[in-house]
Amino acid sequence: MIGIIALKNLLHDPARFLATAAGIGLSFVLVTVQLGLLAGFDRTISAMIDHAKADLWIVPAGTAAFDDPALLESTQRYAAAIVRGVRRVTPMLVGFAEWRKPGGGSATVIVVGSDPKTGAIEPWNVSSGRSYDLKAPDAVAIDASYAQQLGVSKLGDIARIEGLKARVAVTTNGIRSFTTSPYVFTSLSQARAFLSADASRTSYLAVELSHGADAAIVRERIASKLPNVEVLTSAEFRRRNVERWLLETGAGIALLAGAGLAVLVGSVTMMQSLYTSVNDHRKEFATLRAMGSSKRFLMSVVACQAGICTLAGCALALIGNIGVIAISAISSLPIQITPSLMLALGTAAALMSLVAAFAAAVRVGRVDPAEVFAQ
Amino acid sequence: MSNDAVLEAENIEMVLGDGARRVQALKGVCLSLIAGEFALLVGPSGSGKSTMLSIMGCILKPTKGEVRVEGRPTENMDSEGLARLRRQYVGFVFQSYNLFPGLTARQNVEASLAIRDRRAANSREVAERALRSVGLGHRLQSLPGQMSGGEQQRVAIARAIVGNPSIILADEPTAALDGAAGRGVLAELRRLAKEEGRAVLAVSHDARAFPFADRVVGMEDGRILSAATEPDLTPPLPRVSGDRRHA
Repeated sequence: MIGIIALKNLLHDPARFLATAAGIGLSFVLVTVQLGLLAGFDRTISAMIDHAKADLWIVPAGTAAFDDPALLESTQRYAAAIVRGVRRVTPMLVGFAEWRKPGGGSATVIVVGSDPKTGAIEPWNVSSGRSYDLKAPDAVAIDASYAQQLGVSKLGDIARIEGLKARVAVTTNGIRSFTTSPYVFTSLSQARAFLSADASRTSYLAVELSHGADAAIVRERIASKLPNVEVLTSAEFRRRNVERWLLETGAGIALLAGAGLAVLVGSVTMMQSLYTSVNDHRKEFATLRAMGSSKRFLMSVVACQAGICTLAGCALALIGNIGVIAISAISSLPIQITPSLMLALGTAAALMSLVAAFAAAVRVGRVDPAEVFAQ
Repeated sequence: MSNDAVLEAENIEMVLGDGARRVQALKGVCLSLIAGEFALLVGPSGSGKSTMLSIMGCILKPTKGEVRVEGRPTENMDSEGLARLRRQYVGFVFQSYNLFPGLTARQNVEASLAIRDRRAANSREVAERALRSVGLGHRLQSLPGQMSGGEQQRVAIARAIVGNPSIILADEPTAALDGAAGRGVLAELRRLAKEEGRAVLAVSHDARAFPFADRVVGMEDGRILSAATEPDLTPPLPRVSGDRRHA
């Protein structure tokens, strides 16, 4: 009967119920979109680190982010390679360069050079060509989403990077850059050519550990042997990268603030919608109380009402989120709505619903049954 | 106090508001009801009738004085204890019915059972029986909005009696009804007293109600007006009386 009272209370005024559900749904969408953007941002700016075959990273001291490195001496690769517990050390060269479009005009790109066979990183989500094709001279890989920006349309198209020939040999899907500069994958030697870096220089050394080796111990060993470098785990490098973009750039701070504000506004709106919905039925609750209903019974009806509103709101939000995801998939910063994010948001919605229900229930619990005589 | 009284209020005083807005709504009122009696509480607006009804129904606690329900003193009960007492012994009928607009007649009555015992397996049958007893067997599935005022008030009466309370308290039960519907509701309240042995107290402005009552208790300015009389069913008019105990 509690469920029937709660449901009929709400459905008696469908427009008001819909408004409540819409309020909750929009709050949910707002929070999901902002947190999804944040998650998408996190994933995008860390994609290279996440896809690299590296247990440890040897980086120039003071490196703040993957996209903006200084240079190391390549010879340090050999010093690291002989450390006990190290299986392989592979160099990676990263740097900004000018891409001249075949039809005229230019764009800035981030060249990522690594050995296509044994290198630390290779393009993923390959949609045409093979990663191995990057071994060929002049070969580069670009993401299809940047083809128009780079003035190319198909495999074999020729552009120039820093004046040198660059032939599109591989295309990928979904490898986006947080900055406006697309990533361009190529072989290590070709990258050196594009970036005018001599063979003794590299941006990073990616370290793979031997089976069973302790990362902390190996890291200490490497650090003690190599001057002017930092040895980071992938998680540390990832965190540093995220912190750099998120906390030290205007865009990152705006995104973070937006997410925080969305959570705040969404929570308040959602709770306000629920609270108002319950308060709209104050007369019914006063009647129940006058008839002798216990506070527990009233609170059960309130909780049930809040639950129904939350479920309806979440259902609307799900439809909204599907639309938002579809639209964002073609943008440069996709909204990343993972199952864990949805679960977290669902839990948060349930908690907010509980808080709102509790606040409303406290108010309903204090409802003066004498109100029924004043009507 | 009368030994067979099911509801007794003694020396009730009630102060509402404070400071400049302080009003003494009741000034030492005594009133009791016995089983099978239909009493009317009448008086001008602001005389304290509804306040008295709220106090006798254990909805308001008096500033001073004592209320006993079925011999149980209520003075030291908290709000939950009073609610328990209400659902056990008291059925309410309100001026504007106060039905749940989204619930059918049967569900409205079932709600009254639900607050008593959520697990009642036969609550549907019990609710339907209560509605049939007030002549609404044909309206079980109707929503309040689909019923006349008189029918809605009968649903409210069914809701009040379904828990089998010994006391029925009604606040202006005919105020929103036309003549025929009002008389029907009053006849029903009288039947509850006479045939089912419940004690019924109704607040009313409605002169049509007086002939149905065993006793008419007049109030003015927070006091019972005058001495009591024997029950009187003769129309037309109100003989204003006080508690029989003070006769």
